[in-house]
Parts: sequence; structure tokens; C-alpha cells
Amino acid sequence: MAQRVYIDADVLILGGGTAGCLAAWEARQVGGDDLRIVILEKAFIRHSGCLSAGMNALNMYINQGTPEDYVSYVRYDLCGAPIREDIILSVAREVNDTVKIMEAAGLPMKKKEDGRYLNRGKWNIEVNGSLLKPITAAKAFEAKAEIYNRVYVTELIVKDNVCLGAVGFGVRDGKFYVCRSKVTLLCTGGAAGLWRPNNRRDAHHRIWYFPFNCGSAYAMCKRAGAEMTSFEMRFVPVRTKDTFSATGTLAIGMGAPMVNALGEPFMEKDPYYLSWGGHTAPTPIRMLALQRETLAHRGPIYMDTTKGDPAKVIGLKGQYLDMSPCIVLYWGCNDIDPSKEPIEIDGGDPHMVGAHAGMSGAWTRGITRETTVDRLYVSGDALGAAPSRFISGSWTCGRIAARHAVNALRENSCQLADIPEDDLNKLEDITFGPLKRYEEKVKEGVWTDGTLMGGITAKDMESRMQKVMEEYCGGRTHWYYVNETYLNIARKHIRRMRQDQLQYLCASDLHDLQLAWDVINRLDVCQLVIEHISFRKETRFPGYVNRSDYAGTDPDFDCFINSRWDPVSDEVICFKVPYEQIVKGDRKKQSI
Amino acid sequence: MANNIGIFVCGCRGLVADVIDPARMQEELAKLKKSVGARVVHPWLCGDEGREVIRDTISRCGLDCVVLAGCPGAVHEGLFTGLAVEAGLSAEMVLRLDIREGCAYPHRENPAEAFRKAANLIRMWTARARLAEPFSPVVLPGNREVAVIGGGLAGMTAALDLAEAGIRVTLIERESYLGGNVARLDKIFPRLCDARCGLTYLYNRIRETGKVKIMTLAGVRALEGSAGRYTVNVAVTPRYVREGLCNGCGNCVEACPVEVADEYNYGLGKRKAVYAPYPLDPVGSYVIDRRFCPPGCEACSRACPAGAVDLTQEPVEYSLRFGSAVVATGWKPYPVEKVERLGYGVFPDVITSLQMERLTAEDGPTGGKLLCPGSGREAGRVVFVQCAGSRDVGHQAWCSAVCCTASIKQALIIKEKNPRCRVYIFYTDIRTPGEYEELYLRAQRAGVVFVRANPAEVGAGSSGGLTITAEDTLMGRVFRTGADLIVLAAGMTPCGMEEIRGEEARGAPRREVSRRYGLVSAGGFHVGHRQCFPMESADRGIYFAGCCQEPMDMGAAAKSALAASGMVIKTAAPEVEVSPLVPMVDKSGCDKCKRCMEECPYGVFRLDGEGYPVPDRLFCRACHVCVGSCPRQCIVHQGFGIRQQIAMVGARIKETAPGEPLVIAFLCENDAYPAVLEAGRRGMVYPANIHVIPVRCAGSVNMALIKDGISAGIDGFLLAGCRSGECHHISGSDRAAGRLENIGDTLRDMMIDQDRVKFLRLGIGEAEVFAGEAGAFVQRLRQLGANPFKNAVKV
Amino acid sequence: MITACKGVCFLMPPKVDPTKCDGCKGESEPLCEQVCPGNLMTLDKETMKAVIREPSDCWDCMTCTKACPRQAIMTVLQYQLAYFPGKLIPLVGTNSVTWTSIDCHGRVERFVMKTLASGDDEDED
Repeated sequence: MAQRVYIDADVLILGGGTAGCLAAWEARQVGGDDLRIVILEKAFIRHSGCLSAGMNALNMYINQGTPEDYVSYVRYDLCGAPIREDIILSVAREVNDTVKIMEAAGLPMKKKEDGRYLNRGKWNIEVNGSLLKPITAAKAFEAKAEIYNRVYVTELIVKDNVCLGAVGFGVRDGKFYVCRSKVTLLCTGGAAGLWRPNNRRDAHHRIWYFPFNCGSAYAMCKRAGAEMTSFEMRFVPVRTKDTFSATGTLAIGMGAPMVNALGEPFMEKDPYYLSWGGHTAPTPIRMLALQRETLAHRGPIYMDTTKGDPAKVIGLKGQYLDMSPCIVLYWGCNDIDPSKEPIEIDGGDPHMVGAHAGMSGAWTRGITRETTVDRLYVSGDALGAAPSRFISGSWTCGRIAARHAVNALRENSCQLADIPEDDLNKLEDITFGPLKRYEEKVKEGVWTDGTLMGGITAKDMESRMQKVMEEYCGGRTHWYYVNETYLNIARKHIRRMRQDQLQYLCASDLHDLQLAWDVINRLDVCQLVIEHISFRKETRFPGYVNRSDYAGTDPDFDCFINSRWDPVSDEVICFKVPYEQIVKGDRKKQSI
Repeated sequence: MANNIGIFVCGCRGLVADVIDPARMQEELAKLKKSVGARVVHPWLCGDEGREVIRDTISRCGLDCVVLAGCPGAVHEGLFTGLAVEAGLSAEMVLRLDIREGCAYPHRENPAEAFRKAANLIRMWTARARLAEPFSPVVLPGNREVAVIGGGLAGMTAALDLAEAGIRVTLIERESYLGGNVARLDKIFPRLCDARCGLTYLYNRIRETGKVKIMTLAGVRALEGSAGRYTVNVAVTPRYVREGLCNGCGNCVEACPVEVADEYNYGLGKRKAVYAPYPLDPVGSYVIDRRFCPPGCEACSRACPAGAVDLTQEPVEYSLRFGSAVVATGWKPYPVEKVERLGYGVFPDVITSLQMERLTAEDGPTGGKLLCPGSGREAGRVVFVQCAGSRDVGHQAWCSAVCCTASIKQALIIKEKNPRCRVYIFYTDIRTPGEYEELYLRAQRAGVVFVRANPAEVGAGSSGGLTITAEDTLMGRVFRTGADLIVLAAGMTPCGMEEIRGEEARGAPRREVSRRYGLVSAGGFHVGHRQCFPMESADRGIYFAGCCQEPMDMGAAAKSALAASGMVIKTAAPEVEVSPLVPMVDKSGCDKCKRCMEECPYGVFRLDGEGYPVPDRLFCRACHVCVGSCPRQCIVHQGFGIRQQIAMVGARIKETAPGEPLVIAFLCENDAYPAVLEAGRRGMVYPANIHVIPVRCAGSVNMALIKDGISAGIDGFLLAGCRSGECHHISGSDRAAGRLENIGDTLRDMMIDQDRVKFLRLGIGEAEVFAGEAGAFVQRLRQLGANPFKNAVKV
Repeated sequence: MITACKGVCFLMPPKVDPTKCDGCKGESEPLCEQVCPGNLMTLDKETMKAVIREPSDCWDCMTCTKACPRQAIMTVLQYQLAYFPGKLIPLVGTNSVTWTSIDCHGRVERFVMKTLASGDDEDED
């Protein structure tokens, strides 16, 4: 038995990130001084998550036009995909307000002569975001939230489809944390590391998305029986080769077009790409183009920075330092001058990021952010079918979720529930399972290299999972192509791992336990991804997922694919949910 | 945050105005926009008319903060703050800026640069003023848990003083009786009155207060915790005699088969393993010293008619919490047997001065008769040997301060008891400080013979007596003389806290600090920071008194006890108002690295429930070394602190002349800053490039200021603190030097010359050193050229 | 310094300079251990210096490098990605950060950027 920490919360926020911190702040604004707001954070709130390296721009801001125009843009940028327009509208209506709040909190905004924010296009503004995370976290401190750092949440406590809290373990203290809550907001980010990364061995974490985000929000929602959506809509980053830094900075900073090895700006040549807008084509189309050019042996593919003003290079590096400093080091070490040579780009491993250009997440009721599990709310990357919210949208989304959660708490006068000791004991056993197993297995024998004769490590399992996903679920080496035969193999292996192999997963210490839970969660997400891709028998997001057996789009699938996990059969049951167009107009065109 | 600042620049009747052009200054002030409500350049602000201008401007413009640029802060302090207070401003909202000693005087030959520098300084002080806020008082509940460790004269005095101040005290004494060494003295100088008389009076008054809980036979084992939250483990040895049942019949003593040397009498005479209570024993029942009991012996138990003997009692360990304590663990005599030539331990008639006390005492083993312990004869010829093991690098290097007077006192007592007895005092130097000289004269008049001698050897005499061979250092000859009794003046060895502080993690570094900075002397005395904070240790809240602090006589011991209890009383009142400058940790910025905990010279930090370090503000001295240590700059306090300093460094000051390096100097306000003022006052010339910010301690300067300055294009930084070992805050200036060295290393990695940062150790009198160093520093910066970040890409 | 890891020698980020690192002298966790988003930094109880427990798991976010109060941590790119010997050194102030980039030929580029809005910029220069 681990030592237990019991916490009671009115509002429990899982994940002290972009959405979580602002949710805490908003909860205090609308909930008043007496509200007990608790944040459980896996790392250290001031420096955790995908903002930890900083960010040099906010990709969602209404510089011109209306919130409806933004919805139209998002729809277009995903090739006219069905999206939750209601949710995106709700974010777009408040996002500028949120940015003001963050500016007042100390975020240095770059401004034009006229005092307006320095924009990159219609929907993007530049910031000095090196301290983006600490500034975001300061909002949680301002809200006087109780913050528990280094607590890894493993399971939600759900009874009769009502979320009553969550449990987890202290990454440093090894204690068992039991947190009861009246409402719970889950915003622990997206999932990286499901597929094998481009760089191997010691650089395997040099990927685009934050490698420590394992999709625990998706996995916990799934295990809680929540309705999930759009897991076939993964995001594949087109980024600078090796470092996976942003290409927008190059495209805008140096006016750099994508070119192939022959120097041809193919986006402006092929009528198909031109029909999508050429260089400004939707994100999946640009990915598709890169992939087609490479497969046609016209690679490598570059951003042609050599035509830009050489004097701008230094400013470009400066911008990268606010977000992805390692590319400056990479250029320095490799003697690369972007004004003299074009910068090579590549497609990376796919990620599940519901707030970026992906759509995976939990299905929510209206714009409340409440999942189909009562009293369980989601925000940030965990919220499904509402892409392109990015940082500023996730801040905003956190606020909106908190507002609805607090109001619901009031209206329904939610109370803390008594959780039977037996249930807690079971959850504790599950939580510390890999650690306990290690103690048992170590007695069975240890090889001379220190590894267990009777067990496997999280790293072993991760490698296996990444290999399966890479090779049978459309990884980078397969140029994101799948067909049903491949998927069947992936399904078989992931099921085997989930049903049979987890009993061997061991963790020798608390850090290992964290890694073990990462892989447990990732396997759950893999299952969702395989089933969703398999269910959508068409290619709606070329570039992201290419189905060689169903190459075109099928009007029958112009809808959301949702799913629910059946714990008894361990099957993910997918079904269609109709799309509702709120913002009028051609879905494949931007309104402005 | 001040929103309406008044800037007043004084011409000081030409002393400033002749160098710094007032008309141009008025133009310069106009550039300061944000939160500035009045800009006054005046020829003579402390004159009648000038004072009226200040008063009038404050009330007319509704100013909430005033920057007064003119003479240094300490000059006319009352005058200006008085004015502000009259006008409704609190004193701390008047910010003084020296542009006379620090600008007009040293740069008088270069008015253009002096002007620029003055303008820069005003910018900096305005930036500071914008963040100024009036103090709100910090009132904390006092820490009422108080312990006194050691029940000797000093400990009893402290306990009484604290109890009389209304504070409940736990007094912890190792022996079964109070009074320590003093209880066993015969007569005490200078009045030659009875030692126990004074102690008894003290003890009775302690009892009257009813506020002192006395623990006897209580040994202190381990001390843990930090300021305000100490815990000691106290092991109490049982008496093995039940209090209340024992009526003191003494049958047990008769029955006891064991005889041991009587410790109370410093080994003179014998006592049984069970013994009657000594005077000043607060329990008053018999005591069995089980260390000496033969295995299985129950003779006393059987002999006791009342059944009071209980040999099954077990030692009990208590865990005692306290916030502050007086430690008065006293002294023990130097083990003079180590000085082999003096024959102690070999010849029974060689005794120590403490044994001599017992020999003349009426309640001593001889009933006050001067009988030689070995021969049993009455002593007719007594030789006192001073400095036995003292002032001797082979033994104890120090002088124990009381032995000369004590031996003279004993000689006088002998002469009084038996005027025919021959008494000799062999001394190195007679040290009878102050009016104790009178005793020296009395002894001479009474016929005591003083010989300035260096005793070589004590041997056996022919007729059973002793002989002593010595060198007469005045006559320069060796002589030998006989003696019945030789009394060795054994020096004082401190009973320190060394054995108390456990080996646990937090104890070790604090002990190291104590040793490194001499808070514990080479001899093991807890001398503290002698001049600045004499009663203190590296553990704030623990104060030393009596002879564990330094060798002292009884009067001094009582005084030191009062001083220590005075320190305790400051924090043990029901409510305590502390300095508004005591810091707090802003948790929203804290990353829990605990460096503050490590670097606090007084050990006042502890971890709170959430694992954040917090200072115990009651015991904090507000030295701000923690502010300097914090990598997150999240240790903040009222008044002038890191936030204002950051604003000052970021105030966008300009080169004093084209291409001239810009220097910001952080100077310790105790030593370095006065030295710089002195340099100005004495007309020394140094470069105008140097912009001085006086700080509380060099150790309070956070390296973020230097990093900020580097990005803001400042070319060089001077940081000046006290000479090592002279810092008021113990390790402040050494911390600063270490931090600066680290920044220097980083600059070198960044391909920036590390000469851009310089640490100076300045004594308060070293004005000339400052002027020289400042000149050389600026010269070096000129060679290095501009800070490369001046031309860096701004993103 | 070469870190051996499970029998293979890797050169990896972040590197802790033992001459500069003082383990933060705190009770248990040095600052880099507190802040690492990946739970990778820890204290070597024998040397009392910070060390990365699994170098290959680093994302190069540079949080530790920026946070280190003694500038003892250097982010070095994996050799499979980048040649020796380039350096990138951040120096973090309260509301600004400077970066010094030294490329493989020793050429230096310097950057200054705001990290926190200070709002003290209304005065004329």
C-alpha cells in the first residue's frame, strides 16, 4: 500500500497546461473565492508540456474578418472536412479577448507602428513567447488554484457514467493521489510517439510535438466509456528536416516557396495544388505534395530561402530562438546559411493533436465541452473535431470549459461522492501495477545486463508499438499509406499487446512507472486510431492518411466518425455522426 | 506603485549647479513622462524657500513619491523626510539620490559627462520610484516556545529574565542540581561573598515566577530544525528514587557498597553510588548513579524503609520544540594532567583551582580546613601556578580571563584562614582587569608573594612534600622551592554546541558556515559575529551566553545572559513587529530549487507544506542574501528590492560621452558605498561612467541584474562588498564574489571578456582604492570596446 | 563528457559541466530536476551534481539550460544531427534573454529578446 493523499476539489483540472491554467483562472472568475480549484500536473506547472520550449507566434487571432470567417478558414485548411463549427465559433468569438488577458499578464506582443499586433496573415500574430509557459502558469497561481506538481494521473473515477474524480501517483513521492471532484476538466494534451520517429537512437525524441505527451486524455476518456471522435484525422507535420522546426517562419520570414530538387515550385505548377490555392493550399495538401514529389524521385524537397533578403536571416534565427532554439544550433553546427542554401523539409511521424491541425479527441455536448460522461469536461488537444485552435484557442477553450463546468456545478449542485474503499484499492493496484510486477519478476531472475528474465520495460514495449504502427498503420516510411490488410495486422498486434503483453510490463522505479503508463495510454490511443482509420473507407485527408484501397472521398463519409469502447469485448465500436454546417459557403473555399 | 512622482534636483548652492547645468537639467527632466507629476530644479532645496517649494509642490501636485537628487541620503535626513511627512507622505516614499559626492564632486572637471551621469541616475531613480510603495507594518505572532540549555549562572539568569518578561521557559540541566561550576565555588570576587548565596536568591526568584520548567539530569542529544522551529531531543536520566516517597533518611547511603570519587567536589573525597541531593537540587530527593552500581546489587533498595528505590526506572527521551533558546552550556576546566611536568594526577597534593574552591568551602570535603589531600596535613606553604595549560599553543592558546583574579582571591582566603601560611603565586603576567587590580594590591599587602615564573617541573620533596622548579623570568635564574600544596590554575574549555547539532544533513553545512566564518572560535567558543551580532550563532534564534561564549567572570556571564535573553524577548512577545524589509517567497515564481535555504546566512528558511521554501520572518534579519541567491528573482519584500533594481538596470541610460563604456556599480551600503562617498568628499577624481546603486549587502545582488544589464547594453559591472570575513551578513560578500565569478565564466563561454564584471572588496576607509580601481576598470572596458549585445539582433 | 547508456556511447543533450554545477545545494532536487518537463534530470547522490537519467529522451526544449542558475548546462545536439563544435548559449535575465550562437567556424551571432513585458517604455530617450 502506498501512502495516500486525499484531495477534494470543486473543480479538478487534470493537466496544468495551456488550457488547464486558463481554465483555473476562469473558474475563479466565475466561481468566486470559495471555489476549491485543484490542478494535478505531471511535470512542473511553470515549465511543462509542449510550450516548454517557447513559441514565437499565436496561430489563432482574428486580425480581420469575423469569427465566421475563421471557421471558414479552418474548414478550408482541412480540405473542407466536417468540423464542429459550433465549437470553433465559440472559441473564435473570445480568442482576441484571451490574448488581451495574456498581454496584460506580461506576454510581450510584437506590435506594428500603429500599435496593433504584428500579424502574419489573417489569423496569426507574433509574440516573444520564450516564457509563454511560465506566463500561462502564472494565471493558475493568480487564481489561487491548489497545484500538485509531479502527479501522474492514471485513471478517472467513473461510476454510472458520472466522473467523480481521478487517481494518480506522485512521480517523485510515490504516493497514491485520490482526488474527488464535483466537476473534472481533462486537458492533458495530445499524443506523440505512437509511430516511429524519423530520427533514431539518441535523437528519437527530436520530433515536432512534445514527446512526453502520450495521449492520456484520449486513453482515459476512452477507458471511461466516453464517446470519441475523429481518430482517423491524425496530423502529419511538414517541418524542417531533422529538427522539425516550424516552416511557417521560413515561408513568411524569407518568402520561401516549397521547391523540389529541380528547383521547381511544384505547388504553383500542378493544377490540383493550384485548385487548392497553390502555396497556401490546405495543410494536408502541402503534405501530400511533399510526399508525391518525393515518391516521384524529385526529392529532396526544400523551402527555397535563397531568394529572400539575406539580411533577414538573422531575424529569422531570432524568431526560432523563441520557439525552437535547436534549429539555430543545427544551422550553426552544420554551417547552414538559409540565404545561401535552401532548407530541406520532411514529413515527420504522425501525431494526435486535436487543437492543432488534427481532430482527434473526445466528443462533447454542444459547446459545453462536457463529454458524454457526465461531469467530465475536456479542453485543449483532448477536445475532438474542433481543429486549429492552437495556443490562443486552447487558452480560450480552457476558459469556456471552466465556465460551463462551474455553471453546471452550480445548477446541478453537484456533490462529492463517496468512493468505496474497494474501488480505490483496485485503482491503486492498477496504478502501481508495473511497479509491483517488477518486484515480483525481479525474483524470477535478472540477465547480466540488468534486464528482467520475466518482464519487459516500457521502452521495449514502446519500440514494439512504434514498429507496428509505423509498418502497418501508415508511418513515415510508408508515406502514410494504409490499406485494410495492413490495418488488420496492426489491429492484431496492438490487440495482442493490450490483451496479453501488458502483464509483463514492469517498472523498476517511479520514472519507469511514468514511462509504463505512457505506453499503456499510447496503446489505447493506437487502438482508437486503427479502428477509426479502418472505419473511414475513403481518403478524406490526403497526405495525413492515404488509403490505397479507398483512394477518393466518398460522400457517405462526409460526417464524423465517432466511437465507443466496449470494455467487455475490448472492441472499439465506430459509428457515423452527421456534420452540421453552420457557417454558410463553399467548404473548400475561404470566405476572406 | 507610485503614480505621481515629484523629481527635485538641488543645486546645493552651486556645489552641484556649478557642475551640472540646471537649465539643461530642467529640459532633461521633461523627457521623463510616465507617472511623473512634478519636475523641479532648484538652487538650494534645504534653504527656507527650497523647503517651502518641496512642501508646496507635494501638496499642490498631490505627489505620492519624491525623488530628491542632491546631497547623499544621510545628509539632512530628518529635514527632508520631516518635510514629506508634514505633507502627508511616508518617509520611505522620499527617495534620496546623491549627485553631489557621487557625481558633481568627482567629475567636476568634466561637466558634460557629469551632467549625463546625473541625468542617467535620475532616470534610474525615477524607474525605482515608480515601483515604490509605502510600507505596511509586518506584525507577526511571536514565537513563545523558549528553551534555556544549561542551568548554571548564565542559564539561570537568562531563565529568570525571560520568566520575568512573561515567557514560559524550559530550563534543561545535565546535572541533578543547578548552578554548575558557580554552585561549587567558595567565595566569589570582588566582594568575597558566598557564591551559593547569589544562586539561591536567583533560584528562589525563578520559583516565584512559576514560569520556568526545570529539567534536571537532562542531557541534550540532537538539535534539528531551522529558525523558529527547532527540536531538541532531551534524554532524562532517572533518579531511581521515587520522588515523594523518599524522606531523606539516608539508610540507602549507608547500605551502598560502592565508593566513588565525588564529582561534585571535583574528585576530592568520596561518595557512594547513591547520594544525598546537593544544594540547589530542585527535586531534592536522593539520586542513584547507576553507572557505578555493581551488577545485581539491590542493597539500597533493601535498605530503604519507604520503598522509594526503584531500580527499574528507564531513561526517557523527550522531543522538545522551541523557537528560540539561550544556550549557556558553560565550561569545564582544562584537563591539566596533560601538562605532564606539573604532576597533576601523579602527586595528590597537586590540585586544580576548582578543587581548591572545594577545599576552602565550609561544605567541602574538609569542612573548610586547608588540609592537603595526599598527606592530610594542614598546608603551610601553598604555591599557585597560573596559566596551567593556558596561553600555551601546545594546550590552550587563550587566556581564560578569570584565573589570575581567582587565584588572588583564593590566596586572600588562605591568608584570612591562616595568616602564617606562606602563599606564592607563580604567574606569567598578572591580568586583573579593571578594578580587580584592587584585589591584587590587597594580596600583596597581605603578604602573598608574586613570582613572575615559568614553572618547569613539580617533583617529590624529601619530607613528603613537593618541590617545584621554575625559571624566574624577571631575574633570569632557575630556582627550586618546596610546597605542601600546589594549585594549578586550569583554564576554561568551552562546553559547546558541537556535541548537540546532529550529523544530519542540515546540521553539517551550518556547522561548516560557523567554522568558516569564525562564529565558533578556534578554541570552540561560540563567539558569534563579535561586534555586529555577538550573542548569535549560524542558527538564528539560538543565542549563546556565559562561558561557552568566551572566557568571562561571573558578572560578565550574568550580563551576557541578560543580553541573550533580551534577544529572545524580541521574538517571544505575543506580537512582534518586524522590519518591513523581511522577504517573502513569491510562490508563483518559485521553482523550489531551495538555493535560498542554502545561502541564508542565518538559516531562517524552512520548507512549507507544499515544499516551497519560506523564511521564518520573525527571525529573519533582512540581509537579503536570499534575494541575491534566487535564480527566479521571486524573493521579494517591501522597500528597495529586486523589482526596483531590475527597473533601474532597465532604465535605458545613455553613454556619458560617445563611445564611453557604461558601468553600473552595486555597492554594499555598509563599507563600499561610504568609501565612494568619501572619495567624492575628498575630491578624488574617477570616471563618470560609473553609476552607483547602493545595496544592502553585496550578497543581495541578484545575478539576473547583470544578465539584464548585458542584454540592455551595459558595458561593465562593478560589485563591491566587504573584505572576506568582515561582512556583516557573514557570507554575503563571499557569495557575491562566487556568483560573479560564475557569471564571468559564462561570459567567457559566450566569447565576451570576463573582465566586464569585477568584484571589489572595499574597506570603509578605502576611498583611494575605489578611485584607482574604478579608473582601471573603465580603462579596461575602453580597450574591450562596446558590449557586443549593443549591436545584437533585437527580436 | 561521454555518457554511457546501456552499453552504447552517445553524445547527447543536455550536458552538465561538473565544474560549474553545484547540485543547487538544496535538500534534494536541483532546479533542473524541478523544471524538466520530461522528468529526465536528477541528482547524482555521489557527486551531488545534476545528471540526465536518459539522455536520448531529451526534447531539447532547453528549459534546464535556461533555468540553471550557474549556467552549468549546455544543450548539445546529437552528433547524428549536427557536427562539432557549435554552441548556443542563452543567458536569461528577468524580462529578457540573450542568445549567443557560436557556429562550427567560431563565428558569433548575438540576439536579444524580450521575455516579459515590462511596460516602462513611455519615457523619451
